[in-house]
This record gives sequence, C-alpha cells and structure tokens, in this order.
Amino acid sequence: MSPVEAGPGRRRIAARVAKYLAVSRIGLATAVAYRGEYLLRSLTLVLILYVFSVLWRVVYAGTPGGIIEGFELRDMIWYLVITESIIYARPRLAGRVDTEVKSGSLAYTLSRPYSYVLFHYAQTLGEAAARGIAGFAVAGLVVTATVGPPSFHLANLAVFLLALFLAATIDFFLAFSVGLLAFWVEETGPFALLYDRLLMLLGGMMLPLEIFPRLLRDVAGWLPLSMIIYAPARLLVGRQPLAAGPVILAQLGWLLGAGLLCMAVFRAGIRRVNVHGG
Amino acid sequence: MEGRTAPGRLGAHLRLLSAYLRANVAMAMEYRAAFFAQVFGMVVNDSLWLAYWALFFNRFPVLKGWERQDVLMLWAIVATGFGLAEVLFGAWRTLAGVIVEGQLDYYLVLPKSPLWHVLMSRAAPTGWGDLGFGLAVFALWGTPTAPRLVLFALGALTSGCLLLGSGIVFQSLAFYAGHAEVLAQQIENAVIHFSTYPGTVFGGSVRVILFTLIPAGFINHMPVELMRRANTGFLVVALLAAAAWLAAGQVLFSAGLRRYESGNLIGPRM
Repeated sequence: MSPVEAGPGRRRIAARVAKYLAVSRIGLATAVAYRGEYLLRSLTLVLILYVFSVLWRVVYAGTPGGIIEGFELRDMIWYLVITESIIYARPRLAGRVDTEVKSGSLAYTLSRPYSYVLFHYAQTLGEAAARGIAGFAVAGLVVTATVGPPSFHLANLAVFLLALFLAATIDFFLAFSVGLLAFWVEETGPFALLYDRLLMLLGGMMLPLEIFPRLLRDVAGWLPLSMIIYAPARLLVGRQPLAAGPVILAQLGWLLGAGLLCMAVFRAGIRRVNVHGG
Repeated sequence: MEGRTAPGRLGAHLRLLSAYLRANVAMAMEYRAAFFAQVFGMVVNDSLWLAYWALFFNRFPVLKGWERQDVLMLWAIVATGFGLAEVLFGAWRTLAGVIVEGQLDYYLVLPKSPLWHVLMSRAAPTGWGDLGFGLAVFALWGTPTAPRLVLFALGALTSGCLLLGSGIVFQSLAFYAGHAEVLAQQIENAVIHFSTYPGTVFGGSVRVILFTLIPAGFINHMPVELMRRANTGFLVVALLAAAAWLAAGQVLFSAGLRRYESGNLIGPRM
C-alpha cells in the first residue's frame, strides 16, 4: 500500500479508535461521577480484606517459618488486594446485556454507527479502570497500614498491566456471552451468578491456586478463569512469580477462544432479532 | 385492637404474617422462572462459601479450635436464620429506601404496626434459597438427632432475630440521616460478613464491637457454644440480645415516624 493510499485508511481507523476511546472515557467518567457512592461501596472491600487479614494472621501464627507455598503473610494479603480489586472492578455486564436484549433496546443500538459489542467493551474497560484503581487505592492504603507495603516484583509491572488488560478482555467476552443467553432463556441471572462464583473460587480470588489440592490446582490452572484473576496477581506477588511469557501466551489463547465464542453467540442471537417499524 | 390480651394480639399478628406469606408465595409463583432462578442463584452463592471453607480446612484442618464441621454448622445456622428473615420479613433490607422515598403512607393507615406491615409486604425469593440451603446443610452434615435439631432451630431463630433486629435499626437511620441506604447496606453487609467467619479468630476491640455495636459475635459463636457445647447460658444471653435488637429497632422506627415526610406518591398497588 502506498503512503498516498494509506492516509484515508489510517484516518478511518484512527476515527474508529477515537470513537471507542470516547465511549471508554464516558464509562470512566460515569464511575467517577458517583465516586462518593463507589468509595462507600469500597468499604465492603476493606471489610473483606480486614477479615481475610485476621484469618490469615491466625493461620500464619501457627505456621513454622511463616511461609506458605512461597507466600509470606504480607504477600498473601497483597495477593488478595489485587484479586479482590479485579473482582470489585467488574461492572455487572451480563445483567446489563440481558436487560438490553429483553427490553429490545439492543435493536435500536444495532442501527447506530458503532459496533454493539465494541461499544460495551469500551464502556466496560472505562468503568473497570476507574473502579479498579479506586478499589486498589482504598484497599491498598488500609492493608499498608495493617501488614505493611507490598513487596511486588516491580520488574513485572508492565507485563502485569498487559495481563490485566488481557484478563479484562477475556472476562468481557465470557460475561458478554452469558448476558447474550437472554436470546434463548428467560432468566440469565443464574448463569451470570454461576460464572461469577466459579470465577471467584476457581479463578483464585479467595485463595491462591497453590492452596488447592493438587488435582483441582491443575484443573483450575488450565481454565480461563485463573487467567483472569490468579495469573495477573501472581506476576507481581509471591516469592517465585509466574513466568510472564507462558501467562501472556495462555491469555492470548483464551482470549481468542472466548472472543470466537462471543462472536458466535452474538451472531446466532442477532438472527433472532425482529425489528418492526411503526 | 384495644382491650385484647397479649396472646390475642400475638395470635392476630401471626395470622397476618401467615396471610402475607401466602400472598407473597402466590405472587412469586406468577413469575416461576424468575423465582426459581433466584433460589438457585442463592444456593450457588452459598455453596461457593462452603467450597471455600472445604478447601481452606483441607489445607489447615484446625483454625483456633474450629474445624470444618463447625463452619458447616455456622453456615447452616446463618443461612437458615437469614433465609427465614428474608422469607417472612423480606422488606427489612430495603426499609431505608422506602423511608427515603416517602413510600410509608400506605402502611400508616393500616391496622396493626406499620413496621410489621412494611416488613412483611414482600418476600425476597433468594431467602427460600438460603433457607433450603441451611436446612440441607444441617440435614446432611449436622447429625440431626432430636436434641441437636432443637439446638439448631433455636440457633437459627435467634440468628434470624439478631439479623432482623439489627437490620431494622440500621435501616431506620434513614429517618435521621437522609439518604442512608448505602450506609445501612454497608453496615448490614458487615454484620452478615462477620457472622459467617469463625468467631474465635476475632479478638480485642473487634470482639467487643461484634458483641455490642453489631450482633455478629452472638451468631458466629453459635456452632461451638450451642451445637458443640450445648451452652444454655450462651443461648439465653443470645436470646436476650436478639430481643434487645428487635426492641431497639421498633423504638427507633416508631420515633423516626415522627420525622417522616410523605413522598405524596400516587400509584396502583396490585
């Protein structure tokens, strides 16, 4: 392609990206607009971390050497800060999509000059960024006061941020697919809740996978759920952090799989939309 | 009605409770799919926590004197008590919203206590999930002999009353502090959260708070004190605490009614 031909094409791509970036900014601004409420809600996060801190203190007090599976007490708590913040950051995407499908507002969106999926993706990322940063800041401050500052592997910081982005994208595709089930079933709530709870347990939100029994650890390690929570957190925390290369590769693999699944579900669902004029 | 004896008044209130329960169940059955979806969702949610504790105790078998069996009983008691409160008095967790939006008018003109009416006006479908889950856990892992069944029932009822009473207290803050919905919700989340962890892990000033400012301490000591040791002294104190929280809720709500401002909302009630 010659530079002359590339110009308008590049401008079109830039315009598209700018469009979705604007949506992300709106998502972020929405989250920030209700900062008082979000801050109050983040107290629940602080409470959860406080209770976990107390629980793990008791466990570590009875552990000779003070190290469990390569985690000191401080590492364990900071692991939980990251994993809880990731969960806290997630908007209720499946419920939102479910409502739009059932109410029919999706049909209006389809005719607008943007992709329905990308619109939600951009909005979700914007909201998640604002909520995640706020949650991590509040929880981090409290935990710093109780167990001290983190001993993160800062050399992995850039790859951690990349892993977070990929994790959010995989989660988006999966949660979006769950919401789209509203095309076929009356109530998607149980599916969304099941997905959320499996994410919390097998994704490693409440316990690092190292605490699981061997078989379950291996199974959970292969699932996309652990790529959304456990893997990003373990890039930063623990005596022996996960190697960045395999984590990113596994995330890319799951991202591709989840993306294809989401597209397939979306296309199949859209075929069921009937638009009547009037 | 004036002149009625206390048992008579209680009987009338219980008949009203039964009528509300039947109406709420009939209403839920009109939306069966949504109802069963919510029940299933709550069972999944509670099961997650049991799975967490199973993994935890698999790796750390004893936690300050608590074993896996104790946590199972804790969840059986709390889920049953919470489920009962949700099924019978399902509006207790949204009371602040009703107050703030000025939607109490309808209940003020009805005979019997407005608090009683507003609490029973809806049943949370998820409560059936909690109730079923708690009973199932007890049936499966609680060694349900007759004496243990009595202890379990007393523990669950007391826990339900403690949660309900404290819920009314915190939700009634909306009369005094304006938009207190989120605040009340956060405090209630704290009560429920602390109630579902082994009581012995909390010490010092937090332990004092759990037995005074919020009633979680009574609940999270039930499995060991009641189910394991059959400590009747503890049960009596817990029952008194439950009565005190319920009374405080009633007093705070009644006093708050004097500050209530109607929303002048006009709408159909079906």
